[in-house]
Amino acid sequence: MSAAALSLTSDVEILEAFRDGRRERAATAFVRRHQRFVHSVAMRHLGNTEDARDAAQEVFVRALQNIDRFNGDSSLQTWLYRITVNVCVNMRRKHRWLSFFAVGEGTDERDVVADQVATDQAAQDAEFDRCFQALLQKLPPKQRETFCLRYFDELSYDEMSAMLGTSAGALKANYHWAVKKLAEMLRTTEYYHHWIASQNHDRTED
Amino acid sequence: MTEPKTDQPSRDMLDQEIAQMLDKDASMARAFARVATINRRRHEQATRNLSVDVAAALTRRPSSGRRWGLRLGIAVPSMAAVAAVLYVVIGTTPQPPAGGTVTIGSAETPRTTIVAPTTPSEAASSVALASASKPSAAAPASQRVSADVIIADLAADYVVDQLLDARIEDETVVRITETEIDNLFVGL
Repeated sequence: MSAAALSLTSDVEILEAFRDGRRERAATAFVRRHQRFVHSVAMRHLGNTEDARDAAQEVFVRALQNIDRFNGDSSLQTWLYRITVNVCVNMRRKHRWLSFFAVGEGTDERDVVADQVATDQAAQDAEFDRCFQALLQKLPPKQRETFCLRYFDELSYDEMSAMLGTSAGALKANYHWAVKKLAEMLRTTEYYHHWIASQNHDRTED
Repeated sequence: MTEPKTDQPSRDMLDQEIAQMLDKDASMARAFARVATINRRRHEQATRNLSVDVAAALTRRPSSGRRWGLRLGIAVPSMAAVAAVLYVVIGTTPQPPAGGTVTIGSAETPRTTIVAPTTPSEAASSVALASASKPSAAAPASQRVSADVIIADLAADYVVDQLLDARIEDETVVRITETEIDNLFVGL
């Protein structure tokens, strides 16, 4: 993968590069620019990192095979979001089929961060992640997706509105309630109190 | 294409926004920031070298969306196959292409054209048709049920795949050749 791909920093530049015939460079930049977002969406739909990575690869293959047909009515990110959701729905269907034959493992368990056992910090992070993800699952789906798109995927309300077909105002309300509920639930967890205590302890030692 | 997201939030801006919503509860705001960091790291790790894998996948895959081995040792009458496709398009496609068509046969000589239903009652009658058309071999009932499930799932995979490609290509008509259907259902 070329360092030149790094110079393509916007969707407009990437699409221009495709049109100009600099396809390999454009494809690399395209994947790198959107891979975290696509994986993040896939992870929410599929629940584990391996499947999410497979889905992300599938999404980019499909997108790149059809990039010349992309007409710009939406942003690339909105287009990718729709492809990702469809690919994930399809993968879940395929998993059901595989489980029928007991060929696939088909676990729905959420993976934890890959390097969880590497260090204490990573183990703590993994525990915190598990705790937070469990709380996220308790939110209504729309609030959960809104929170994740805004806070984790760093999207604007306009972009989210295009993806979800919901007004920006409604999304802001969803986001607000999601944050409030998450905080409320987090406060009741044992994990949070341990964490606060360890933070205070660290600060005292400093 | 216009470059979107003129109000794309920065990480700092999002964290400040959260802090405001939490009435400046600094500990809780730190907890949110921490989970954002963990989340970001997870996705960065998981997508490392993804562009290389995508490039490799593109070179070995034909442009067709079809990629799964969908052959099983089951022979099914053509009409049952068509009905199963119809059933699945109606019943389980995430975004049913209401009013869209699925053509069985070549583009020049379509043999069967299925118009996806636009109302629940149309869907119900189509499902009834699909059920009536499913194979009624002299096999035990339990095996027949299994075959139905397999057919439905195979058809679902295949048709959804085609529909997904069609959506990407912004077309409303999905064409599936008879040979493809035969390959899908006829046993090895």
